[in-house]
Parts: sequence; C-alpha cells; structure tokens
Amino acid sequence: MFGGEFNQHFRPGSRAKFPSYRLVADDVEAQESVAAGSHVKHMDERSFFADAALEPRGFFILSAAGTIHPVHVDGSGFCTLIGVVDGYKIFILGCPTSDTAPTPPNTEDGNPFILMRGPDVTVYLIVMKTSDVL
Amino acid sequence: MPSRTYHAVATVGLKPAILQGTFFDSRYVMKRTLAGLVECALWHDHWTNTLYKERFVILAFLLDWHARAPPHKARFTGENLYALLFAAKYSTWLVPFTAATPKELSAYNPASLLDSHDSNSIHAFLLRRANQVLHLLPPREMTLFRNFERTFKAHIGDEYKSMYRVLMENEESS
Repeated sequence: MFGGEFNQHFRPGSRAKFPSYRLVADDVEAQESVAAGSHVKHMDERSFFADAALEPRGFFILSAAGTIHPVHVDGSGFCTLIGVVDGYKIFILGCPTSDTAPTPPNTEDGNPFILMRGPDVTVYLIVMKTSDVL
Repeated sequence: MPSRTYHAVATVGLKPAILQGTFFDSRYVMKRTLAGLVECALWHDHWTNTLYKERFVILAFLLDWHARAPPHKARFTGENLYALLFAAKYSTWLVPFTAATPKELSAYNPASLLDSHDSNSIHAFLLRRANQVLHLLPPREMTLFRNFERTFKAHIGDEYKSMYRVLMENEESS
C-alpha cells in the first residue's frame, strides 16, 4: 500500500561530499544493507500496526585501525545507541544547544569539523573501549 | 545520542574495532527528533549519510500507540506530544527533498503537498490521526500546541531561508 508512495517521495540516500579519508568499513553501506533487509507489513487501518515491523534499526561496523568517519548526522531524525564490541573508538560529538538552533551548511568540503566551530553547538570528546555504551 | 547529534568517529589503537548500534525513537526527546526530521528534510545532502523509507510508518506507529492508550496513561505528554503531532500533521514537509538551485527551491511549495497526497497514503493516515488526537486536547493544551506549531513553522522558514542563501552563494560562485 505504501511502497509506491514511499518510492515516489523518497530518493535514495545521497552521500555528503566528505573528504577522502580512508574508509575501510563504510557505515553507509552497513546501514543501508540493514535498511534494505527490512520489510513493513501493511494492513487495514484498524489493525494497521498490530504487527507492523518495528524492527530494530541495528547495524554493525567493522573498521580497521586509523579509520575515520567524517562528521555527519544519523539519518531521518533517529536517536542512536552505540556499543563497542571490541577495540577503541574516539567520538567527537557536536550537540546543538537548542532544538531550533539553525543548521550550518556544509560548505567547507575540506573541513569536516566546521559544525563544531559554530556558536550553537556544544562539543564533547569521548573515548570508548570494549563494552562501553554511548 | 539524541537525534541531530553531529559526530565524527575514529578507530584508534593497533587493532580493528567492532561497533554495534541501533537507531530508535524515544518518547522523551521527541522535540529533538522533530528538529532532526526538519534538518534531514532540508540538509540531508549536506550532513546525513542515509535515509530510511519507513520513517513515517514508525511515526504513525508512535501516534497510533498514543491514540489507543487510555487517557490516564498517555504515552506522550507536553512538548513530546506536540512534536509528534506536528510531525504527523505536517509529515509531507518532512520528506527529504533536494534542490540544486535557488529556482528549484523557490518552486518547491510544501504547503501544496498537504492536499496532494492520496487518502491511502501514510501521510493521510498521519494527518487524520493527528487531527483526531488534536480534537481531544483540552483548550489549554491546544493553546500550547498552537504556540509550539508557530515556533517550529518559524524554524522551518528560517531553515529554508538559510538553504536559499547557500544555493544563491553556490550559484554566484559557479
């Protein structure tokens, strides 16, 4: 019922122009493969969501030492829960100071940290080790 | 991490790392989720790496979950409810679109989308359900929702203007 509608409205996710860091395991593909494996069942309105697929939007990312994922926001307004299964990760987070803080445009392709210089963002540096959760 | 958290990630140490994660919605940060949806609609080419086609079905699930709950066990309250209702009422405005030039952005009229979807679409369902819930809101809550609605409409307007400026600058420099 909604497939055609969704296909009409949505375009495939386009990747922002990130600088050419070494991306050994690309989270874009990892996430899209999860999305592609999902299916939503459609029912009439009364039982519309009785067994609608609310599958966890889960993903795994395997990355080699030295891999950098440039600054980005996770798609479609989702919150994200992350746990380190093995290894060490450094996260640099930029949190808007208010929900209606303006979005700075990504006009500096060479500098992925442009957002973190803005006045409306609080920046955190987090080091995560095995079994840590963010 | 709540919605709209900009992040860069690096793998450090001498061995590979494995990360496990999941995306979710929380009924306690729906205002931030709405802000993330607005940002994603306009700026996904700049900052977002993936889009999820089932997004509006999940919003509809949340709204339906709230609507079916008994009044004394409301699933969403306060601004979290207003954010969900706003996202449902104006869901067509939150569909990601791409405008490469100022002309394309000017031609895009999200207000016209409100009447253009067919009655079986997810957007129609969201609008219907949102209106049902809004109809049952007490007057004081309705006033608060109207204020919330004004704030976010202004925010969306500001984001459009900002996007327009960027496209103008790109056009002038090319």
